[in-house]
Amino acid sequence: MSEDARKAIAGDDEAFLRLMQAYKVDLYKTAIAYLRNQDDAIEALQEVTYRAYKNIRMVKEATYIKTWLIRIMINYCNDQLKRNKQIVINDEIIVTHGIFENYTEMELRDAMQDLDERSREILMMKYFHDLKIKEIALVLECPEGTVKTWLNKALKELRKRIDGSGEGWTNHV
Amino acid sequence: MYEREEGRLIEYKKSIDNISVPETALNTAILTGFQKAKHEESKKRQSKKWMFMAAMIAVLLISFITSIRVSPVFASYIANIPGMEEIVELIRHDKGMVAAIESDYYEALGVSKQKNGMEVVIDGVIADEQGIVLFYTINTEEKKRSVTINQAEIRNQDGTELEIPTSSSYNPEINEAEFANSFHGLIEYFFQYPSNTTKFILHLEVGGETFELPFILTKDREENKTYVLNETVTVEGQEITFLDVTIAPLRVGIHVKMNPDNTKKILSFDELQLIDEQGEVWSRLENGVTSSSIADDEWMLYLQSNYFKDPEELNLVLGKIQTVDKEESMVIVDVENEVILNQPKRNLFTGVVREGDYLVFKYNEEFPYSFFSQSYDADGNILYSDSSFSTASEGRGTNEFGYHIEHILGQKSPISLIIDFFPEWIIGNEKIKIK
Repeated sequence: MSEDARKAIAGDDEAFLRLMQAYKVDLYKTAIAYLRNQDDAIEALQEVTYRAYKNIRMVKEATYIKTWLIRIMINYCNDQLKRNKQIVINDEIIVTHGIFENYTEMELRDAMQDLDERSREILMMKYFHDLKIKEIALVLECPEGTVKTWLNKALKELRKRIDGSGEGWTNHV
Repeated sequence: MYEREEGRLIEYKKSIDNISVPETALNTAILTGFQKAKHEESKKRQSKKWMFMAAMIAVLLISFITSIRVSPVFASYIANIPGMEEIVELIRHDKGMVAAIESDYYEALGVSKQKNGMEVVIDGVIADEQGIVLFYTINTEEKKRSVTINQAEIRNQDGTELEIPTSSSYNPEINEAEFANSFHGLIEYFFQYPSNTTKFILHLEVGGETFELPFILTKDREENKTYVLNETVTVEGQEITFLDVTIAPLRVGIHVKMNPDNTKKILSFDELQLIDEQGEVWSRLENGVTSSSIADDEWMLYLQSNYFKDPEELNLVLGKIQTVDKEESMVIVDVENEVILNQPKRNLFTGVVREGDYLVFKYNEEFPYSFFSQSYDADGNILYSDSSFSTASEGRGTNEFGYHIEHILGQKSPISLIIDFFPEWIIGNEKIKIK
């Protein structure tokens, strides 16, 4: 795979498409976790492919191509969420378009959405993509100690939100 | 400490892992995204080619006359040096460099390094006190459509830094038609201060490989000729002072200063030319670094060199000068609503849309220049941009200029773009005597 990454960075189109094939499921699932909806997640993959192709020459280290792609996806999703915040969605639409049925998952998801961008990003990378602290530090270009601090803060904030919504779940729009 | 939260996160991941994946839709999405990027790339390439063609037509007329006149000597000269034809192909548009080669001022090197199926060769250089132009060939074992140079730096062999404010023309011409094993290109470096360094190292990154190529120049470098002018002309109310002219083998530098009280911002001297007593003309450089800015109102403009021609009389002619009123030298765009809030009075742009991270401006005139190179968000923070493209349509259709802004939707709108080029001109009929 790193051979393909190296070729893709050097401008090889076929290698680029093979990379996208290899990571499409990871990218799609990231999009689902953020955007909750199949159509939006597919559109997200399209946009991420576009952005990745335009910028791949700037990737310095072929080994981190996957985390680089995921980061583009997370950035894209954050932008989408910001835009959607201005649009009022009624619960019915969420239910029919949503993928999740389970109440506790919904609760967690909403708590996640309520977090700040950085906390959400760190939790995603750690628990969703099973990245090590060291890898996260590399992607975010900061010391490992800082990542640990941020991770702790993110978990703390998440706890607050889950506990806080314990009695009556409200939909954050 | 947060086992419960961690547990729930892991549960959450598992539940998402279990969802079905719409394989076909994802493949389509990847291809659509890929094609969109490709399409833009080809639009970009087209426009570059188109500009290059226009330049070629103009220049061919001139250089054909020259090359016909010198052809017997030149042809035999080229025939004697292997690989020279490709080099001449690269600089055909530059009379100064053609003359340098004719005058035997080109220094052949043939320094090369090989690595992982790739060979980089420095074929030769043309150097003067102010700069160095490197001609290179990249040979690849596998046939490729293109190769990309990610980095190209030169250093002094003793390790001291060379101050190089400008360099250009990294990548070889794209082989549009077919795959190839060999790519030719040139790289230009111009020094901050005149330099007589002879021992260099070229550090090159191509397609993921790094090459270090040491080389030594042995040819004597010709000295510059400088003429002090200090002459001020007034063109349609705008005061322009020509301070001095430096004639070097690679290029001629014209040092010019605008009066800060001018009402118009001077954008580009489109038709600046040198003319000798026989009516022979040297124009602006077509490629590479065509001007550099010393201060806000002070520039160096570069023309093709007549160093080796050394005419008896030489005059500078101004011609058309691109300008924009200082008060309207900015275009302001509301990105969310795709509306132009402010632009020069003549309303050149008929609209703007956002495509990906690009702002695409529509206009109906033939003007293949890059309109902007700097932009700011609503709070005056400078925005990061790494590319732009222009597309031209046949006849009187709509043309487009696309300007990239990184992460555009995350920026605070309205966005201001500083005009660098604009289709408005003043015309200077003055002739300034250099010698």
